[in-house]
Amino acid sequence: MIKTSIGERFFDIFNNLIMVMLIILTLYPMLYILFSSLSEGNKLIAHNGILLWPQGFSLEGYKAVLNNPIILNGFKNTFFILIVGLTLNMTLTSLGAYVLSRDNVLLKKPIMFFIVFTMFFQGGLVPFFLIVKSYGLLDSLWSLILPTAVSTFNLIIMRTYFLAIPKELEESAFLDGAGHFTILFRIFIPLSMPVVAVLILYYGVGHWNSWFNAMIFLRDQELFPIQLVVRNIILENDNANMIGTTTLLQSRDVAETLKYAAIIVTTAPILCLYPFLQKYFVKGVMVGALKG
Amino acid sequence: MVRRGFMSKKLHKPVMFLLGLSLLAAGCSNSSNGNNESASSGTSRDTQTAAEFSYPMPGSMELTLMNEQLGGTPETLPIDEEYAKRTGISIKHLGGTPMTDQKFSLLLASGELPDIFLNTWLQYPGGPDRAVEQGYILKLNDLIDQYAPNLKKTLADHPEIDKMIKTDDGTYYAFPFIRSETGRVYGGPIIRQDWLDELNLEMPETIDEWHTVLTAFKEKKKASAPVTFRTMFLGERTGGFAGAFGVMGNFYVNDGKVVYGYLEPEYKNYLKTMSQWYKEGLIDKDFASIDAATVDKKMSSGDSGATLGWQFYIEKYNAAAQESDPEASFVAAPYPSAAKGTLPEFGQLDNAYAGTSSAAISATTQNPEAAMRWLDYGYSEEGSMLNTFGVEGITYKLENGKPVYTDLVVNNPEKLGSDQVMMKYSHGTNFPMIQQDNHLPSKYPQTAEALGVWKKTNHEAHLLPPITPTAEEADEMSSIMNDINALVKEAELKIILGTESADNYDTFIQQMKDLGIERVLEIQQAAYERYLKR
Amino acid sequence: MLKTKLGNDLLRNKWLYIMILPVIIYYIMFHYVPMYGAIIAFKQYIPAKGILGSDWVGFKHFEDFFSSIYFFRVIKNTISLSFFNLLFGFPAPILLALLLNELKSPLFRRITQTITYMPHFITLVVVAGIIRYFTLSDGLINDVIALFGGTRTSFLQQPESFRPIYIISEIWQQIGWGTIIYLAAISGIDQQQYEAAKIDGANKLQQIRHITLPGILPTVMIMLILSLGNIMNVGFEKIILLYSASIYETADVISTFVYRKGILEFNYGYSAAVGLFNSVINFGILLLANYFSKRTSKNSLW
Repeated sequence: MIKTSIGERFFDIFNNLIMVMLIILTLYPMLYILFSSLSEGNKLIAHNGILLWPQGFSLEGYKAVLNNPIILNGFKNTFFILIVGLTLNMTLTSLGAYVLSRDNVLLKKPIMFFIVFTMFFQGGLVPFFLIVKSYGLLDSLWSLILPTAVSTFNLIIMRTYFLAIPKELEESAFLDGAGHFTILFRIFIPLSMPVVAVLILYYGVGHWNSWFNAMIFLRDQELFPIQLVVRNIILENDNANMIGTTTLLQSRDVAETLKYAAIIVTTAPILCLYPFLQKYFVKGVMVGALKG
Repeated sequence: MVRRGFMSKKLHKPVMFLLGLSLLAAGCSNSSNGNNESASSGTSRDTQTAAEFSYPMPGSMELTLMNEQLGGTPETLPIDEEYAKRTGISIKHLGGTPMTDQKFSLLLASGELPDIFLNTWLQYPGGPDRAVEQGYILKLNDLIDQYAPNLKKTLADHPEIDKMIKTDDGTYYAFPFIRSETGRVYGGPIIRQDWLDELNLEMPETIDEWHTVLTAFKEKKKASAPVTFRTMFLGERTGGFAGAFGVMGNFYVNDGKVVYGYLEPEYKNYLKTMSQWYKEGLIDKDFASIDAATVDKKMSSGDSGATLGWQFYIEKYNAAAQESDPEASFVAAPYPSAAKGTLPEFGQLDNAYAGTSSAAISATTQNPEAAMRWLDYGYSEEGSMLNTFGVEGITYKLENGKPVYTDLVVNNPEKLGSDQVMMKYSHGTNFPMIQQDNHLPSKYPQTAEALGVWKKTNHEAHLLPPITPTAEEADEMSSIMNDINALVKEAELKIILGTESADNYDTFIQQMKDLGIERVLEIQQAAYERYLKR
Repeated sequence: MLKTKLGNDLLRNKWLYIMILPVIIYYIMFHYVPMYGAIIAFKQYIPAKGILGSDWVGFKHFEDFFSSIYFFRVIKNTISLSFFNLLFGFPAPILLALLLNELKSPLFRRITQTITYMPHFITLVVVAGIIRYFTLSDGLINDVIALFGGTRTSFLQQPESFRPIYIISEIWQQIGWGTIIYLAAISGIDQQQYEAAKIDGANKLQQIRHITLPGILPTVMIMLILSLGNIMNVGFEKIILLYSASIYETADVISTFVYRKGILEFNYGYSAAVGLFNSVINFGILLLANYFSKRTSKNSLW
């Protein structure tokens, strides 16, 4: 007993050390971005070496990003996409994962193959665009929600998790007269909160970060999601830099810090999502349910 | 003729004729809004043709427009409002889509092109003729006769422009953006004048002098990377140091023959010299892998004393370096030559018509006349004044017939740079027009001087005009050049970095020949000859 | 008895098919309908003529690709980069998830988790900028090397250091994000098993080996199958931002090669052809991997 506890203590110290190192390694670049975003442009350009503190102090980069007239709209659109999109994503994915994790469904294999096949073979951008257009989705936020309603990868993950749920649970529920919808939403989903949390994160971050579909499907900038708005701000800034003039209303050195400010502005909100979902990753959520 | 004084000598002729012809149009718009008194003095002379059409165009039409700058929909600026007021046509800006972007192919696939599309139509797959033939954009020949008197006059007076902007079969496909003489040069060597002064060195002019200067930077100024630059400046985008050897890493013309610089024996000598410099530690150890931000840092922190870059870098470096070292002064250095007193063969020079921002009109537009009129305005004298100097009374005043910038521009109350103010009130660049020098005061005189310094090369004699290979030829060329591009860039860097001996360069030349470079030259030569016959 | 069971079964399956119907409709509408577009791999695609109207060119694009002098090099580079990335990058988040799971302090665990997953959110442009900056010959990494008496090297200019740089930075950026799914799988393991093992005197390592690892094995196997089926896809964005012609020897992969030709020169047919070539190989590998996984661990995609 004593032997194991020494070994365990040694392991704990070692483990904590590794984690601290990892934190430093992953945190520094984040701080680098934060410091850069708070620096004065000219001082930042001239600074050569490790950045341990903002060079000078200036919020101009943030002003340049947040002063954009459509940025609030961008957040609004993204939240709409996030809420409606996530609802649809989670509903369809759990329906699909549930059916595909059942044992005695004759067409299960062909359907699975039919779905996985699309991970490898696509029509390409042009036909995809034309099809979405023909459904009348252009210039509507639905063009950012419906075409990405199910992610095959996420569907497979959820299915894998469902497969591990003991069969007895389902069988006893059937004996109690429960239907499939009841079993899925009353038993499987509550039992699978860790994977539900993972998928909310995966889908949520996917919606949050996506701009490409918005760029090709939307013309009206009132509809642009936040990432596209910010990407355009950065691009305009870069373009202006190319031809030697900076974007209107910004002094030249802001160009340097704007990019970093934009990253902070757009990643901070989504980083906040994680701690809320984290509680579902604690050990042993299934225990109680399994006993019951 | 009162305005003669402010015009640069180079632009003398085009501006003079513009002056004459645009009075036609100007007169009438004056009578309606009276905001340009200067032009009204000459109106009485030429009113006969203007009677047929006068700005603003009635009907308050709205047209859609796209350009080729990625980004969102630009906000409406005073210049846009002024343009709408004067032409009577308002523009709905739909943002930008460069031809190389995937979105461009979607625009084509959906068939929803904007009424006016500013793009590099020269690069349309298969050439601009193809875009017309496939029914995307209008052939403008007849429309120019009918609705674009200003452009027509420009082309009649300037056969060299006319030649550049039409295709081999005489099709006009766009309203061109013609750069001013000074606008054609925008890049070259940049050096720290204060270091030269401190070390009692003359501005280097030859390769040997550059060697001396860089060595001094290394030894006496302890510069870790005496000269730093990104690889695209090696000889592809600018002549760089290669110009002194009489070559450049691209296609160009030697005595009527199209050549590919990498195939010339002098290219090997150039690489040998660069390799030697690299070995001596004169060239940035990391030059093959650095990005623009790193070059900026090295230049403005004193790690480097020279670079190859664009004009506005001078301003950027001066501003940044002076934060810590008030003495720092970056100036343009002349392109190095082989011997003192001679001009280098190559520097950096674009064709006056580089193809960019040329405005085509969509074949599906409802109102081709409005689009033509709106675009043609930019080639009128009045439009040219507006595009160059902005709105009279706001950005400039006429004093003795010369435009003089107001305090809004030169001494902006909101501390904006003069170019930033002008961006709101004029179209300085990337707009279909005959660009003119606006003599905008810059913060650092070094910036303004740069163009004159970089211009002193023989580049003009070697410039390949905007030729148009046929669609089949273009396909064949791109399929051959794909491998060749990778081959030469790799060989070039390996030789300079010393991982490959310069003597092996001949085997690379042989490989290029095996890959079909001679066929490419044949295609280019044929297209060049067709161009000359236009 | 038997009859009612059969009846139940049919009834049950009917509902199951109704449940999955929306998913199938989604796949048909947004994946299968546009799939006709894949034919541009055999066409000289001209937007004006449309996908169906463009001229057939047969296997021309494939021949172009196969006959390039760089064909073998880009294939080799792609597979090597993918393989090493899988070899080091695949186990990394699993390992981290196991270590995180053993952390005693819940607060420290949450902090570590949150911080390590942050780099996932930084755009590639900035990540590449940081990598370039740190690997300069007078950059941070070389400073450390010089401190220990090593010689400074310009890493990003040397073909032999490209793969390590790519893979290490990839692990750095994705390790925290990658743990999420394994942490979820670990939380699904019955806590009672650990209690029982402790009573039996099993130490930490034994618990990990005999309880945790088998518990997450299905997830690991599925992730591995999917990763293997992705071996020909190495994204071009990051490489384009990092490479230069001096390291084409190791850094030029299929996607960057195609990027230079297909996208920059609007040769969509060519891109589509290479894409199809990749997909066929990827799909083949996936089928193989799935087969072996089914045979050895009973985990399978279908």
